[in-house]
Amino acid sequence: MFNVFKGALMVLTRKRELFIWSLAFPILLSTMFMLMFANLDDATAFDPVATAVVTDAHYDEATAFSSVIDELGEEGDDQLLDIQTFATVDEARNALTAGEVIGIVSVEADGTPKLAVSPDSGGLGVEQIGRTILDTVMNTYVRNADLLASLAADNPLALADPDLVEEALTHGNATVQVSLTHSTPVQSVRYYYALLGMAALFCGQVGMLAICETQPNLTPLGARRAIGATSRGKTLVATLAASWAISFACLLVAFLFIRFVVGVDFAGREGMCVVAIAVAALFATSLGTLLGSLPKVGFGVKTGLLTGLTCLLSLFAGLYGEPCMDLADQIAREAPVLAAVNPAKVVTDAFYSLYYYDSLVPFAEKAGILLVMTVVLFAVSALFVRRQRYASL
Amino acid sequence: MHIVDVNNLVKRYKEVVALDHFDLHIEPGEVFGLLGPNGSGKTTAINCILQLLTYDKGEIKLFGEKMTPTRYDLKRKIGIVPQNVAVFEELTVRENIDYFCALYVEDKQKRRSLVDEAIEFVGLEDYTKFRPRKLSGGLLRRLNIACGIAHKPELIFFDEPTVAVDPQSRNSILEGILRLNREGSTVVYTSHYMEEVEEICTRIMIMDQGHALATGTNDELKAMIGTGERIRVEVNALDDALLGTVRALPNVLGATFDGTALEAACTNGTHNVSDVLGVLATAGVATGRIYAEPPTLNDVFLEITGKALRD
Amino acid sequence: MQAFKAALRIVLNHPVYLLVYVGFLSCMGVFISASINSGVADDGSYTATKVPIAVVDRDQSELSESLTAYLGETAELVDVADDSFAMQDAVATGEVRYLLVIPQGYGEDYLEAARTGAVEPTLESTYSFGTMAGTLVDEQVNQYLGLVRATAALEPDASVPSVLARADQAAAESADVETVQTPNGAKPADRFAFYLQWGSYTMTAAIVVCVGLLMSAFNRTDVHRRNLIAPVSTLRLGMQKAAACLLVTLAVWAITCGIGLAAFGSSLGGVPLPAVALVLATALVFSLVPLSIGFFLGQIGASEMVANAVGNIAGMVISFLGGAWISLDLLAPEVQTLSRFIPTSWYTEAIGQAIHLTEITPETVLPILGNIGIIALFAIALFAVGLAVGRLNLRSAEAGGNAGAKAAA
Repeated sequence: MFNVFKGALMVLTRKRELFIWSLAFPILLSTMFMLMFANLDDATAFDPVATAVVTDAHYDEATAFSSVIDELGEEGDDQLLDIQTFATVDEARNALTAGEVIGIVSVEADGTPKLAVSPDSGGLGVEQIGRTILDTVMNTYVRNADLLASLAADNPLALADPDLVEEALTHGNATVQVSLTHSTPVQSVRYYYALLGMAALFCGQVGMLAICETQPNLTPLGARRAIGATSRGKTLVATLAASWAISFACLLVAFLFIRFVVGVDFAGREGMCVVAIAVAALFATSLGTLLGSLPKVGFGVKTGLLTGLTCLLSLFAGLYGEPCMDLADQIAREAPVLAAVNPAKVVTDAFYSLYYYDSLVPFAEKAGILLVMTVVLFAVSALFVRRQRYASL
Repeated sequence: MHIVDVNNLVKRYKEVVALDHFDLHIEPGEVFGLLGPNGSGKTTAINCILQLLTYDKGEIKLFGEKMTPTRYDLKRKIGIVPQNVAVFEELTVRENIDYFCALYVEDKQKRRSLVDEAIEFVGLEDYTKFRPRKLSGGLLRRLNIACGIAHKPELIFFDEPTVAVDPQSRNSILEGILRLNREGSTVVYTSHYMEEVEEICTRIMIMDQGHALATGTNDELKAMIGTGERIRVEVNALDDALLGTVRALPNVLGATFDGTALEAACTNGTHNVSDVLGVLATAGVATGRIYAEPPTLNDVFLEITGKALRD
Repeated sequence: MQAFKAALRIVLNHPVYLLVYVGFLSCMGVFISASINSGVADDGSYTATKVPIAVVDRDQSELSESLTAYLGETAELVDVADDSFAMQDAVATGEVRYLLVIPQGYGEDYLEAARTGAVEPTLESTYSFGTMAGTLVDEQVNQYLGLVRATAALEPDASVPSVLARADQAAAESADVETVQTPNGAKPADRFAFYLQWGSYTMTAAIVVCVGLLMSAFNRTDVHRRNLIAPVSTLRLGMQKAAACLLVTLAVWAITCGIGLAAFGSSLGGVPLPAVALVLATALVFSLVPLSIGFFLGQIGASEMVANAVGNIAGMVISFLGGAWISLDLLAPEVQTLSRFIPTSWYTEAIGQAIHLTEITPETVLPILGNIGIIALFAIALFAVGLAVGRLNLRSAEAGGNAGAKAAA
C-alpha cells in the first residue's frame, strides 16, 4: 500500500500542469490582490474631507459659522475637514472642477451658509461620503442655529446666560468606538479567504487525475493496475491519500504565501487555519474523485466542468470584487442553505469565522459542513469506483 | 490440472455476442496461441479471464480455482502485457517497472533484483532514466512487456504485443516469450499474425466471431483440413476446359485461375506437382515460375470460415 | 478549405471553453458593470448618501426611539438581532457600516446629565471596514444628541417629549446645497466602457484557449508531419489555419460586444455613433493580441491543459494590470509603470477616451487611434515571436521521430 502511495505521489508531483492551477494560480492571484488592495483599505479609511472655504467678506462677518468651520478644520485626532481657502467663489469653483476639493463652503450675502458640491458619484464611495459629511456638518450648524432661534421665540429666558448657551452647544463625543469582532473588520482579507476557497476547489484536479488513472474503464493504465495483486480498496485509499497530501501541500504553500509574503492577517489563529486547509484539501479530493470517476465523460470535459464549477461557486463566494461579495453576503443571509452547500463559500467562511468570531464554534460548524459534504461526495463516487468489473472497457 | 480453465463463457455487448459459449483449456508450460482476426474476441476473452469485464454466463478457473476480482492470491501469479501501452508518462522506465512490480512484490530488496532482471530481459539498460515519451515505438513496447513480467508470474498473457513493432524488435519480443516459457512460465499469446503463432506456440486456438473454431498443435490443425499442398503455376492463359481437366485430377480439391497464375489445392500426395504440370504440358501451355507449399494456418482458417485471415 | 473546416470543428468540439469563457465570463462582466455605477443619479444632482447602519436599542426609551427615528431619515436602517454572532456578522461583512448599541437606561441617564451639566454617558459604536462611512454616521449621531443635549441643558425643566419635539423640529432644517456640474463626472455609458474593459479578460481567456487548442491540434508532431507531406502547400495550409483562428477571434469579439450592447446599449444614447464604432474597433484590434498569444502557444506545442491555464491566468493578469479590474490610479506607481508594457492599459485608455468623445475631430480622435496602433503593434510583435519560435521548433530534435511511439501506443 505504501508503494502505491509513493507511486501516486511520484506520478502526481511530476504532472507539472497540475501545479498551474493548484499552486501557481493562487499565488499569482494573491499577488494581484496584494497590488490591488494595497490602497483599498486606506482609500476607504477616514481622511479629512478636502473642503474649499471662500473667505470673502460675508464669511468673515458670519463669525459664529466661520468659527465652527475653523474648529472642524483644526489639525488633530478629531479633524473632520481639510480646509483650503479661496478669496472668491470662482477660484473655489475651479478647484472643485479640477477635483482638488469635494465641496465649497461659502456664506451668502444674507449670512446663510451655503454648500456647493459636484453630482452624486454613487454608492459608498469616498467622495460621495465626503460630500455627505460636509452636508452633515453644514446641517449641524443650521440646526443648532434653528434650535436657538426657536428657543429665543418660545422661551427667551433660557438663553439669558451666554456661558450656559456656549456650554450647551459644546459637548464631548457622545459615542465611543469599540470592536465587536475578534479582529477589526478589513474589507480585503475576505477576498484572500475567497481566493483560498477557489484554490481549494481547483485542487480537486489532483484527485480527478489520480482517480482517472485507477479506473479500468477510463484508461488502459487503470485496467493494468486493476489486474495487479494489490486490492482495489488499498489502491484507492493510497491514491486518494497521495492526492490529499498534494492538495494539502499546495494549499499550505498558498496559505503561507498569503500569510507571510502578502501579509494578510489571520488573527493569530494560524494553527487552526492549517486545520481548515487540511479539511478543505480533503473536500477537494472528494470533489476530484467524484468528477474523475464519472463514467463516459472525457477528461477534457471533466477539466472544463471543474473549471466552470470552480469559477461559478467562487462567484457566489464573493471572489470577483465588491458586487460579488455583496451578492454572496445577501445569499448567505437570505438563503443560508444555498450558501452552506457552496463549498467555495464554506471554505471562505471557515477562515472568516476564525478571523472575526471570538468563539471557535462557528469555525467548527463550517469544518463540519465541509466534512459532511466530503463524506457525501465520497459515497457517491463509491458507486462508480467500487466496481471492479465492467460491462465494457 | 488446467492452469486456465474456461467453460461455456458467454459475453454480450448489447446486441453483439462477443464470446459465444467459449471454452479454453490451457496446460501448465504451454505457449498457447489465440489466433483470429481483429474483433474475433481474443482481447475480450482475456479481459473476462482477468475479471476486468463482467460476463453473462460461464465459469472461469485459474490454477484450478474459481477466479474473482478479489482473488489477489491468484492475481499475484499472473502477468499481463496489454495490447495498449499502459505505463505512467510521468515515471521513468525504471520507476514504471518498479511501480507495477510493487503491486505484486512488497519486499524492496527482492524487487530491486527483479526490476534489474526485467530491465536486462527486455534490453532497456541504456534507457532506465528515460520517460516513456522519449522512447521509440519498439522500446516503448519492451517497457510495456517489462512492466508485466518483472514479478516472474507463472501465467503471462501477451495481448498482441507485436502490433506496430519493427521486425527486429518483434523478433526479440518473440525470443523473449520463448525464454520466459523455458524459465517456467505458461504463456497465453494473442495475435492476428499467423506466422508468429506458428513460430512460437505449442498449441493454437483459432477464433472467429466469438467462437473457438479449432484447437490443436500447428500440425494437428493442418491435419484437420483436406489441403495438404498448395500449388501455384504462372501461366499466360488458361481456358475453362483445361481448368476443368486440372480440377478432375484425383488429388486436386479445387483450382482457380486469376489471369496470371493457376492455383490448385491438393490433398497430401507425392506427385501432385508433376500431375498438374503434366496436364499443362499435354495442352502445350508455357509455364512460368512454379511454387508448391505445405498448407498454412491461413488455409485452415480459409477452409473453416470460407474467408482469409488477412482481410 | 478542408483544413479550415477541420480547424473550426476542433474548436466546436470543445464547447465547454466557449461556454465558460465567453458566455459565463461575459455575463459576470455584465453583472459587475451593472452594479458598479448603480448609485449614479440620472439627473446628475447631489443627494446625500444613506449609509447602511444598525441600531441595537436595549433602552427602548423616548430618546433612544427618537434617535433611531432620526437615523432612519439620514441613514438606512438594517435590522440586526441583538445577538453576538448576528452583530459580528453584520459588521464583519459590511452589511452595516456602523452599529450603535444603546444600553438600558441610557435615555434617562443622558437627559439627566444634560440637565445637570454632568458628563453625559457615551454610546458604544462599531465601525465596519471603510471608517469613512462610520465617521459620517457618528457625526450624524453626535449632531442629533447635541441638539437634545442643548435643549435639555437650556430648558432643564422641560418634559422629555417637549425636549425631543424641539430637537426634532430643529433637525428638520437643512443647509442649502448647490450641485455644480463637473465635466469629468460619471456617465451612464461608462458601464459599457467598463464592461468592455473587463472584456479584455473574457476575450483573452476565450481566444487564447480556442486558438491555442486549434493550433496545438495541428502542430502535434505526427499530424504536423502528415500535413507537411500532403500535396498542399504549407502556405495554403497556414492561411487556412489563420483564417480559422481569425474567424474564432471575430466570433468571440462579436459575442462579447453583442452581450455588452444588449445589456448596456440603451445607455449609449448620448455617445455619437462614430465614437461607439471607435470603441468597438478598439476591442477588435485588442482581440488580435490574444490571437497572437494563442498562435504562440500553438507554435511551442502547448497542450490543451496548458492553453487553458495560460489563457485564463494571462487573461486575468493582463486585464488586471491594464486597469480593467480596478482603476490604475489606485495602484502603486511601479505597477502603473509596468502596465505601460501591457497592451491592456492602452486598451482601457482608448476605450475610456472614446466613450467620452462628444465631438469627432482629428484632435480628439488621433490620440485614440494612436493607442489602437500601439495595441496592434503588441499583437504584431507577439505574432512575430510566435513565428520565430515555430521555425526553431521545426528544426529541433524534439520535432522529430518519437511521435510514432505515441501513435503506436
